[in-house]
Amino acid sequence: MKRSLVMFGIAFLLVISIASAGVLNYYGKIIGTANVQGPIFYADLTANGETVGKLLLNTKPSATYTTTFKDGAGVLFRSDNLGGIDFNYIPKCEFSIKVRSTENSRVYLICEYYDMSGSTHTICQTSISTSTIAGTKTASCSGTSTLSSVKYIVYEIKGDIGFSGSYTVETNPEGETKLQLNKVS
Amino acid sequence: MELNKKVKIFGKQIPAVLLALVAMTALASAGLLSYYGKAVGTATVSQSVKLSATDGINTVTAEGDGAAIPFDINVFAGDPFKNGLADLDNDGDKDDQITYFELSNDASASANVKIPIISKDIDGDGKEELLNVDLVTYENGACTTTSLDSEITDGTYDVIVPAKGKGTVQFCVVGTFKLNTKPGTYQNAITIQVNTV
Repeated sequence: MKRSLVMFGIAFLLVISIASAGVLNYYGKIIGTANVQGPIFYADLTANGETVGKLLLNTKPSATYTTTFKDGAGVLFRSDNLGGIDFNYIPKCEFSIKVRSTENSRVYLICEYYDMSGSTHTICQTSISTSTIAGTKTASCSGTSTLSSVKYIVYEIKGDIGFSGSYTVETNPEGETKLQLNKVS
Repeated sequence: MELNKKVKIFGKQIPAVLLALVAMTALASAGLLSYYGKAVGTATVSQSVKLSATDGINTVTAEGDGAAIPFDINVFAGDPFKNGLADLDNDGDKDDQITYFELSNDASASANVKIPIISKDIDGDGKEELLNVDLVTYENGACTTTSLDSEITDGTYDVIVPAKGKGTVQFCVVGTFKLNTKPGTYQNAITIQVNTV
């Protein structure tokens, strides 16, 4: 009797083990690899001569406009209200700008953000040379810390103090004036 | 327990210890199967429900070894995405835009399946980055905003696949990476497994 019970137990375990493998069923799966780039903010003037424009998230402007400024003045582009989000990576600001000047000069490209309390934080800045020929220039700079409580991302372009000529910046449907955030590698 | 105890099977005296060892081995093999079972199942089980992806011309079906449709999403943070790119024409490049995914059924009865969505960041910081992944229906030539059947919990969908000849389930994978998603490559960002209930 005892021996029969042992045999039954062993047989039971074997059946259970086989059955547990047999009920596995699965029809297929979809496996994705997501390559995520940082957001692109396209500069957008809504009229000629504006000194404060918009930064459009991943959307190119619908029309071409220009603005002209002198000396150390400039133009500023601001995103929509982002609601106080944090960026948990140190950003690299990649600038593109379509610009010309009445003489060879230099403009300063500033990447910054306003937080929810209204404070302005400069992420980083750099400069590029300008000439009388309108062209698309690119440059980049890297921040030093993560971003907290971000309300607006801001792309500011300033002229060289003391420059006697003027600068003209263009925003257009090709999206040639833009700012992309990426992570510092 | 007596180690030298023997049990009589088919007229032979077999050590009880040996029989116990055989039973333990069988259990262990079942345990391993449950871990690797998804691959084993797809390779060997005749399937009634088929999962496929199409661009309207070419179609790939997840069956056989691996049983997966690999696809790529190339997206800017803050932008919505839809389906993605896969190697639908079998040229070795995942460069064909998926129009929709489809579940079909070769059986004479409808099949009730579950589709859990698992989104993971395995980019290194351990924080889940992918949000708002959704399965929506594909109707009248477009991905809609209507969720695919009932979403139960944790992003799991409960879907009925009609019997053979009664139609199929066409759906899209849509979602958005948050604006502040850390740029990078997220492998296995979306894993959809179709299991029987």
